[in-house]
Amino acid sequence: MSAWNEGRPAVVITGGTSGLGRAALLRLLRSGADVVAIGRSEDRCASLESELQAEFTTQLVRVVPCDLSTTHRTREGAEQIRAILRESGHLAVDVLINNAAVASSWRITTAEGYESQFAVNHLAPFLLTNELMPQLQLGYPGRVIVVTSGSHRNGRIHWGDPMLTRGYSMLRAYRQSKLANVLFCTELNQRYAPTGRLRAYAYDPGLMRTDIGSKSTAGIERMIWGLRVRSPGAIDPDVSARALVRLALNEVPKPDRFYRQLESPARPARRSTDLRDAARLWAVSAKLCASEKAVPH
Amino acid sequence: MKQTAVITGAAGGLGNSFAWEFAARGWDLFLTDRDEESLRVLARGLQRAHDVVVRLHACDLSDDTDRSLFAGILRAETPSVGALVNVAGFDSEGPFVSRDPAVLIRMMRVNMEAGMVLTHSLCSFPRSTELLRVINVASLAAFYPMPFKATYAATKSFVLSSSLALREELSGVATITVLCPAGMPTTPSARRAILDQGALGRLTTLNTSDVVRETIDAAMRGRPIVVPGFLNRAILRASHLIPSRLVAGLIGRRWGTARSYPERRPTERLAGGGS
Repeated sequence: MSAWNEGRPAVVITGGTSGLGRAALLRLLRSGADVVAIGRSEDRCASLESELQAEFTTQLVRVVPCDLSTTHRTREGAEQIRAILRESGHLAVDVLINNAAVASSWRITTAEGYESQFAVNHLAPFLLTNELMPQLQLGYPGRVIVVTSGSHRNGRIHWGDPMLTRGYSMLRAYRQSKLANVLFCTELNQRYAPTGRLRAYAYDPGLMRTDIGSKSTAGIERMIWGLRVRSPGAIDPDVSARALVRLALNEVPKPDRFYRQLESPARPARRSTDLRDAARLWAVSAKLCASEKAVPH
Repeated sequence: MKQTAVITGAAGGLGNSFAWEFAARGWDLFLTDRDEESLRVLARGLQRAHDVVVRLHACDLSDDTDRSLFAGILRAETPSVGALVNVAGFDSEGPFVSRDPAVLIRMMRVNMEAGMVLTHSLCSFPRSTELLRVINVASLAAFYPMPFKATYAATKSFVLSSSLALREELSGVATITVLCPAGMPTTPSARRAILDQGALGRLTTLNTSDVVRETIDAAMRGRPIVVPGFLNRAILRASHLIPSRLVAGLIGRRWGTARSYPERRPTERLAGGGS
């Protein structure tokens, strides 16, 4: 069923050291892929990498620490990924899974002054994908997966204040970033799907039992998140990871709708496929990720 | 004419929020902090998002030479400077005897002297007709003697007291607004400190961007003191009814318990580790 006839596919996954990402990383390796994973914590990356390299001795396993909260670090991460893959004979990135995400009760700003959820959950996937675009287009065709969430349906892009300096709440910022994920996939497909060289999928993993909602939250939000992820409807991250890895490595049955919830195609919010919004968000994001501009003294 | 906001401690969470909000209001920026690389990263973000000029100058505000140099640069810029925001400052929390006196002295130099020197530098030369809007970041700690943060709280009292006095003296040249916030969730350790204080810590915590917007609005109207948050204002009013000796005792017990600092027993006095 693999889309790759010969050789190992080269897969890049962000947020690989915990939750869904970690479960997916294991499954990718078991499926025989060469994988470069990205994580936030240096310690966790190092210990996971040595653990996995001991288990999977015949394929590429790297777990690279990279702070996806600023554009220059994300660019450095992309460079590192390219170098690692090149060294092991991969000129292409066959699959990029943008999975890393954060949530925070309080409004936190990145070193660039950006709101952290918008920066990590949306701008980082935008930039990493664009940085790896030449390599992705060498894939068969390249596949970009952005892990989004059903909560994008209640999201809104705050065009006048995307950093939510006014009226910040964790959910408002989270939903905005997840809607941005789907709009980003919409625009990616607009731009690249016709060339046949790249296809983007927005993947909704369902409500999982992971700790993203409790890493940097407090009070009522933490409590509610705790209740939700312990509810009987919550999915084991590994179940969600199985569907994600199938989407990453297998032939996708036609019609290959770009929005998928677990194993099946689903319908995203209408506003997430609005072509004008998708193009507008791309322009805004490109400006916010523009490469180094000289700062006069 | 486009005005410039000078912001110290710009690379931190509160400083970068001030920078962002001034830029969103169309002000040019002149930013300083100790680390040049962090300033460059922030400047890049600000310039991408807003159509403003961002200048930067890295310096150590606890260092006399560095500070005078920066003050001199500012003096040359005086006509275009419309706002000075003194954010730079830090805390060294924990049992007094386990603090390093050198660090406490450095803290006094940054928290108290830096803002004073820069304000002096900008006000001592003739200005255009526009009033200089000075924002000094103090803390709720300015109002109380605070065990485990004794020196820090005293530096903030200095900021509050001198700002209120200078505000009268400099009227017609500058307005001075003192921001007295509760703990802000700007760094992982600050967020931990808030969580350590339990429900009250969380309830008194506000989003930095809201605090910043309220403060700039108040500065533009020339208001003397900003205490963000209804609950913080209520606590402050209530505390005025209690003698400060008792307040200090209360705060000492609260912090001591929340952060598990050692009891003040003679045997443990020398054993306290850093926080």
